[in-house]
Amino acid sequence: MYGWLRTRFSKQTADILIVLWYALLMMLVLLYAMDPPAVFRYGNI
Amino acid sequence: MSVLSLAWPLWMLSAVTGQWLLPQQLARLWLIALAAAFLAIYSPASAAILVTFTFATYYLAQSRRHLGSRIVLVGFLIVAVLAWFKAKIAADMASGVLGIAIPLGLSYYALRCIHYLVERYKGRLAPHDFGDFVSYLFFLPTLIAGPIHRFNEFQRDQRRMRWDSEKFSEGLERVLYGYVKITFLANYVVSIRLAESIAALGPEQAALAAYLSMLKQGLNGYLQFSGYSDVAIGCGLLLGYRVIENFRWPLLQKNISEFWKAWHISLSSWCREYVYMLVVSFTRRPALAVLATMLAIGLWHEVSLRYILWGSYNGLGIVLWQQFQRVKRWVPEWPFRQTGWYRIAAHGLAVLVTFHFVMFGFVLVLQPTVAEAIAFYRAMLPGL
Amino acid sequence: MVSPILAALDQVERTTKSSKIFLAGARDLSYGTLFDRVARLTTLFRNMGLQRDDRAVVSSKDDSSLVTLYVALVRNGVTAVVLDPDAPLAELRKLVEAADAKALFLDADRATAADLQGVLRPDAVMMPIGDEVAKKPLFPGFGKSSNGSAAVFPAILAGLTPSTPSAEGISDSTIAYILFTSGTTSKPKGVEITHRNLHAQMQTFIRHYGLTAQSRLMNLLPLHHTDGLTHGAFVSLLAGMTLYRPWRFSVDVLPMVVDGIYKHRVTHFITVPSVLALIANLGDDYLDSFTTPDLKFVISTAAHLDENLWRSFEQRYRVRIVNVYGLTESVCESLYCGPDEATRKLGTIGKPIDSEARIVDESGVVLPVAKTGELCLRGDNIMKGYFRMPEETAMVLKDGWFHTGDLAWQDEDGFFHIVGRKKDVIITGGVNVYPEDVTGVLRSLPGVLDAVTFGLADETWGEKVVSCVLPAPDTILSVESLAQAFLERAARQKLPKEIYILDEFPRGPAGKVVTALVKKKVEELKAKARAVEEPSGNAEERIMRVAARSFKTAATALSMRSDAENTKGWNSLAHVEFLLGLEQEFGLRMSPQDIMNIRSLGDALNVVIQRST
Repeated sequence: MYGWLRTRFSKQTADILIVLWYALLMMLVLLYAMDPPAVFRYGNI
Repeated sequence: MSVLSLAWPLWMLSAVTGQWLLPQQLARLWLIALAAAFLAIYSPASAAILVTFTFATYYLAQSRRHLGSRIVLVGFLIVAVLAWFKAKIAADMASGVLGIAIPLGLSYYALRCIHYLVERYKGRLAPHDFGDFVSYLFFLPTLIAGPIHRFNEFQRDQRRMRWDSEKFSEGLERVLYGYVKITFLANYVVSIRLAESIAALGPEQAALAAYLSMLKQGLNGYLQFSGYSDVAIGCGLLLGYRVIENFRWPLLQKNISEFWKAWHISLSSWCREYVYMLVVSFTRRPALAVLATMLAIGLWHEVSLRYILWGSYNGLGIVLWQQFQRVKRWVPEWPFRQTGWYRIAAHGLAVLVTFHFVMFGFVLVLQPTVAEAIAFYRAMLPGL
Repeated sequence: MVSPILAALDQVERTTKSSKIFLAGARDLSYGTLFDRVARLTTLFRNMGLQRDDRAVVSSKDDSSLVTLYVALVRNGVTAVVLDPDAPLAELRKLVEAADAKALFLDADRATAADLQGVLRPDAVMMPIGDEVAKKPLFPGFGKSSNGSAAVFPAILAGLTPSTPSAEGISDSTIAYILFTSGTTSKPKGVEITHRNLHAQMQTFIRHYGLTAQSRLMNLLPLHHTDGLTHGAFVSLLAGMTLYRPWRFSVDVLPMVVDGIYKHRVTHFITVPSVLALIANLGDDYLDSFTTPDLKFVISTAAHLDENLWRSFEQRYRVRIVNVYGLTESVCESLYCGPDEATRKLGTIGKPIDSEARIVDESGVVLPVAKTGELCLRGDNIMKGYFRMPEETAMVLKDGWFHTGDLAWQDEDGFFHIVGRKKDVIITGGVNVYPEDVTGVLRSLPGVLDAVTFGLADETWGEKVVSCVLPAPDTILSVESLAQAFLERAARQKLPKEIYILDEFPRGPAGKVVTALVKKKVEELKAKARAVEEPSGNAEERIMRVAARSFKTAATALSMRSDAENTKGWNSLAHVEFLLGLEQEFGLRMSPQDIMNIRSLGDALNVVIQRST
């Protein structure tokens, strides 16, 4: 992701964008980690 | 114990701190101790088994005298232990008893030990000592759910170990993406939102609902499993180790053979090398070897009818595709086959067919019993 | 004039933190430990009666002990004679005799006084080199209690008080060390290097390579050669930096060496061209050891660096190679090609730094640009002479110029090009092997009437030592038994790579064996052998053809490194086709082990070769 951002934007812009992107993802994780996770059984392993 | 718990980040934090702040030798011991403690706490039985496997595998494979026989012996014992647990669980399930769970990580470290044994036999192991072997097995990131990382690559990473900020940030990113896949994409978008949309469909769209359910389950399985793998691989990177990948856009592959080189890669490549090659070298019959391999993959998951069926289904798929390749050679190279449009369409079709073949197969194992799977198929294809 | 080395060593001792690692080898040696040991050794030398200008033999497989002793000897003005720790007893005796040393520091398991009877001076003192500190038994009463207090280095140091080495009488013409350049049958020639020579070379290295206390050097070359001793150990010491020597070099540890460069963030890597050739064969996952910004450049020494290898290595690994030229007689190096632009020109040995070079003809007349002649050197780093060999010295040191015995020419930009050799020496893997040494050993073996040795080109090693042997009448010789007997008398690196047993040697009118004709005969034999293989093509090509067919890819896209990961069309079915195709092509049946072992085309080649022999 960062690599791609660097090809489209300057270093400063890319840095800011990647931080925003990570922040967004982390928020999503925290938000939806609260929901009861679906029990994931992929065989008995 | 799963990576979604609150405890996991704490364990990893301890591991990462120790790895980069302690002097190298101590750091190595620290990681081993953490992994051992982790197993001892969450699955003492597994800890005992792993310790036994570790000593048995290493020391019985040391001397070169009768190495072949000793390796077969140890390998057989490991498989026996694994098979016993799988069979016991299968029996419990069949009789409705809530019995023991499989010891945490057994399925994975059993295969790692066998990998080590076979490579030892071939004389292909990088130079190492007992401590290196212990480090390889007692590696926290891949303990719970793989990938089934390889010894030589791990050993090489040990030899090259140094702080690398790029690798570390790659690890952080990977872990984050893994968690997003599990909590947001799998648990929410697919399991909740898509489920809601499916439930909103009326009874006259039962077939469509069943079809979408199939996709939902399959996608959920893919996202969860690849998410877990991402977290494991990312944690490995945080500790400075790059382990084998497990998924490489499997649902976008253009045939079933490519799919199996892109799905649960650490397992399928293990089976390709140790089951497929073994059968081929004895029988010289690739079709038989393919079936044996896919059956092994199925049984590794669970000793049950549905996994036997699923393994055979995939095995047959591969064999048929291989035959199709032979037949395809006789099809003339008409000029329109070279055009861009044709190629795109052909590729698209191939991906769609493969995707659906895989999804249909997943029904067998994502439904609790074979009977329910059949019912599911019926729901999808009314008039059958 | 007082030796400048002493002041330099004192400065390093003063300014370097004692916990800093000097030698990171099988065991780490810190600066503190090194200098402490040097101080205690000073006392030991005094007790042993070892004085300034005496000679002391040092020979050990343990790098740490060897370097410590060497530094202590140099610091005390005692001439260190460093010998090959692997030389067999017969060779060792010869060298010990030539060295005429007052003290001998040898590995405890190497040779006893009895072994060296007859070649030792009556007043010689022997001190064995043993294990590190006395091993404390795990539980008191159990286990072997070590004899650490016996007269063994370094254990004996524990009981000595450190004393400051005196600088009295150590001038810049004191001989720092002697290294023998040839030495089994011909009289061993010991190169005498003075403190002034050594210091001059060190200064050049430090300045020209840009070495600082933060530098990290990896140099695995043997310490009984100047490229290991001065180009590695001593220069690292004087610069106050760290030297990495974790393994004895062998082809097996090569991947670990390259990984070590990555792990330790090595800044300078010194090696020989054959190692570079081997590294060039490693896969892409070893690239980052060299492309990393930490590594400033690679230094190639001791042998001719092939221009193609030079260019392709630099391109692939994105690192500059500095090609250097020198001899034991010039301490280490005199001409440098790089790292700076001014001295850099691929295919040459660069320009002299802190020394002068010129080309002369047979009679000593200086030749103009573009004319080939003998390369001569002059400078502060040129040896004093050959130990107790005034005639041989006079043959090479004339009018202050040292005649190298190498043929070269200078171009109009001032760069020197080596074209050949006047002297009779084979350089294999960066090691000098003298044909007369090898011939001498062979002639001394039972059943051998005569022998002749020469060098042939070799892709990996640059040159290889090849010998032809004439058996005594009615004697049957085998190459294996010859090799075995050879190794009892001479070091492994002198053993010929190929030995041919001939019925007769072509001789000239005077009855003398004409080496050039023997060489030609051997080349003909090899050509005939190759021709027999030719009709079906060599194994590699055949394998690639089968592979190309099975994987439906062009043979040009394949190499011995091709495997399922990096080859398009290599799936499990095609793999089986490939295996069956191999069996058909080579008319063999592979065992299950063979099949499981084949992961790449290179593996297939190994199996095919194994199965056909």
